[in-house]
Amino acid sequence: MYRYDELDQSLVEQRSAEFRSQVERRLAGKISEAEFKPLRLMNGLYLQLHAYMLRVAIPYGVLSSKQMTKLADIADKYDRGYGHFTTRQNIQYNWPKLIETPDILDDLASVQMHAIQTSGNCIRNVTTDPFAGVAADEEVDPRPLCELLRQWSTLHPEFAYLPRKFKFAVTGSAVDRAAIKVHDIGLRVKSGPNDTVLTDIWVGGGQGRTPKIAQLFKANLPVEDLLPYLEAIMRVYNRYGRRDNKYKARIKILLAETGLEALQQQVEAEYQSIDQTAFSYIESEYARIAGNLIKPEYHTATEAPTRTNAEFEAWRRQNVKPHKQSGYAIAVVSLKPAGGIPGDATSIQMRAIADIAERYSSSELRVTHRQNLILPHVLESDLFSVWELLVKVDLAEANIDLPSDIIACPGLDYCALATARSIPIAQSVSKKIRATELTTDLKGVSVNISGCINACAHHHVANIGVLGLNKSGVENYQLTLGGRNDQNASIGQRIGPGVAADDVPEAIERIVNFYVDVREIHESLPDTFDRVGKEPFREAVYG
Amino acid sequence: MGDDAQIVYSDGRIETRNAQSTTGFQQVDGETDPGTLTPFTTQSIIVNFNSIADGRGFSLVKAIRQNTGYQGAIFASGDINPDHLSFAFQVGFDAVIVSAERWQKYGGDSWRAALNPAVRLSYSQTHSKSLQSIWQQRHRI
Repeated sequence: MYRYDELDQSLVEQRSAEFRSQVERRLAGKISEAEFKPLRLMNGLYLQLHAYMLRVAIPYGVLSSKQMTKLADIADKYDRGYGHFTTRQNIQYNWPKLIETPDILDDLASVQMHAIQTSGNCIRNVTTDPFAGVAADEEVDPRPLCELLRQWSTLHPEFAYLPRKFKFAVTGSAVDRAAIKVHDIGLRVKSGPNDTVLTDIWVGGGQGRTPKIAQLFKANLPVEDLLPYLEAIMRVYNRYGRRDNKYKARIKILLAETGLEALQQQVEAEYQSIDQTAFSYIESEYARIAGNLIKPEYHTATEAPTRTNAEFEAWRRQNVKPHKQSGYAIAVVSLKPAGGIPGDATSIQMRAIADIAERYSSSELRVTHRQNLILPHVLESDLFSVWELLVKVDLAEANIDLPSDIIACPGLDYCALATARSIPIAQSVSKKIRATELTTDLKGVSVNISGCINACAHHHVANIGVLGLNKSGVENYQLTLGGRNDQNASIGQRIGPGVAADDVPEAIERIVNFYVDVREIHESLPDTFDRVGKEPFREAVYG
Repeated sequence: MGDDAQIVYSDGRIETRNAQSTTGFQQVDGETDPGTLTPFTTQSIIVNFNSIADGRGFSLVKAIRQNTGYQGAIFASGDINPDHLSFAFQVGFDAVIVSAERWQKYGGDSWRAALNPAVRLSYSQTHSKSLQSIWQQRHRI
């Protein structure tokens, strides 16, 4: 993982001091809530239904044991002993007091963390493949580019007041685990001739009320030319993106209204006007970052794994993924116990997993956009010991990539924008579907539940999407099928009228059972849906 | 003070000016499309921010100098408060014109404090004398 130098560290400390003075002026009544709002939002502080919520950045999802321990300490000291991991690989605290938020930021800065640009109409935390740097199928490690983007976008004075928020995702594998095609900008890093790094730029993906799949905007751009090119895209978006309607303000709408070719021409013209000499350092900065990544020392297994049992084998089959280093494995830690709150972890669990990582995974952890955690460097011979420790703190649910591995937003239990609850729905769905998935092969079937049209749980690109709405004061859940968030990204289709909260688990069960009945060998749910069409599925649910 | 505006310069000077003394400065809207800029005839330009929620004015300084060859002073005015001063100097504004009303609203102390910003580092190159570029420092350019 990337280690701050003194300059990175100073900047984070200075930003924390700046925010402290802003909070002090707010508390002293020198600035109004209206004036404070854009300042607090630039630093991840929301005012939710019941309290402030602080969103802490976990840049591209990478954490050390020390950082995770600090997150646990913050949960105990300033919150109610838990945190919520999100689809942007961040963590949210739901109950901080305004007066204490500057202290939280100081605590974060002490472990090279911050909340810079985790909200507001600016460039948000960059996300990537949670298996970055360790995936067996990876072509280029995306982390150096992610860190370069983090630095470039941090407090960039031109892009702090954009028409709307702006999200980047990066992948370095042909199999896209970062959902790059549903981001404002998705980057695919590839290896070019003579050890060069090239990038494909995908623009205009997004979710919310107008879901769009990104279009290939620029192919094979050398990485050293990337920042001026991104500046050109950002300037054109900032200039022409709509400001009259916040629901039409994302770059996906600008792309749709302008057309791909015309937008490419505008960006190209802007790119030509940029003084390239100001970016002459990119190549050396990229190399510096890549060289500064702390790499684990891999060892050869000293003993063959001997201990095993049926439960462990089930966990290994479901939660352990192939590592590029022979003898090692990637262990995915589920934050989705059947009936639990997706993405929530208690301080006890956070400390336990930090300790496990310290002992068995080179002190490194990851947060996934599916709201789970990862131990990225585990010796295969240590897997049983790791599993035993996870069992002790209820973190050993063997359900990664199964339907009960649900993504859910905070919904009406916390969020000021929500129109319906999502957490209780996720709890009842996971309880019901868990029984089915233990006896039937449902690997790869994704269920995502959003509590409003803003689609924070990415329901549009789930195999089974659930969208909670409010119809005349009653919660109502729309079902979409056939979405995908990988390299073949597609938007799910609504299959019929919404159902009541209590009926969602049964409806999902019917969808899954129908899929199992009609699927061909190795056919995914969206592929089955594409083949047989909407009607039979509709019939299965409502018939 | 009355109606006098305060001009806060990037080098830390603060100057009191009669509101009329900026008549004759050429006004440019922060929302202006840089492609439509024509050569300027005055020695002072004011870029007006109608709303800070619209950050386009921060990209305009570079464009004015690049597209028109203009070499005079560029001021920012409008919906700018002390928290935006540092960004304005980073992108190359020479000074921010603060109306008497805004000066009073936030208080002279806040404006003066903003000249010594807490954040004194930026990653990319910067025009502000209060800030150092981390990348320049790392790569000695």
